[in-house]
Amino acid sequence: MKLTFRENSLWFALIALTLMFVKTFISLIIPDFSNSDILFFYNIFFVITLPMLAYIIIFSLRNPKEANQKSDERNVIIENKSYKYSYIVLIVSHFHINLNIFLHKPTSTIAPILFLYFTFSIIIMISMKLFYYHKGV
Amino acid sequence: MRKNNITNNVRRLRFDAEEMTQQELAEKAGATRQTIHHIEKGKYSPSLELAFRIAHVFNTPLKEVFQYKSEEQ
Repeated sequence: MKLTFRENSLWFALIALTLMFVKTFISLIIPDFSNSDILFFYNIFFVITLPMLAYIIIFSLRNPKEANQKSDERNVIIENKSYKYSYIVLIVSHFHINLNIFLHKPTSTIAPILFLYFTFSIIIMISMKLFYYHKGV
Repeated sequence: MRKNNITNNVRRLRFDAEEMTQQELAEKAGATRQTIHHIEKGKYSPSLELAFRIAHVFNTPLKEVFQYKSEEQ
């Protein structure tokens, strides 16, 4: 099945965010791994972000009609449904973060958790969008 | 997932309209090609406005394009 420009861009974003999420999650469990921070993010940038930008630019030049296509009512419904799940994750994360502050956990732990939850909510949003694009609403 | 009770003849009407493509219909009705594809497959029920716009493209009454089948039927 031929994927649309919108879906392809979402897949790129999903892969990049998932890699960042997994990396942060591992560095929380194994602190030594966080030493490779800068190198890892440079790799993410070159491996994912540059091809993503190249894809968007090349596609926009070759097929500007599809690249600039406006959202229709189905896209709006899909976005609203995906945002709903994303907000649920963010609300749940607030409770966990507040609990961490209440239990006087070090801020060095709270910051990655905050980043993890924020990234996770976006991953959920993108995944739900891709799910609804395929399964229908 | 909720069962879709709305059926449609969009595919047949496109064929009758000189084999109009999904893209052409989408442009005329103000939707994306993917939306037309999902309507035809019965995966998406359009809003009343989009349903009227699609019927207007084919120059037919709405009931010719979309039909509602109730649970009792």
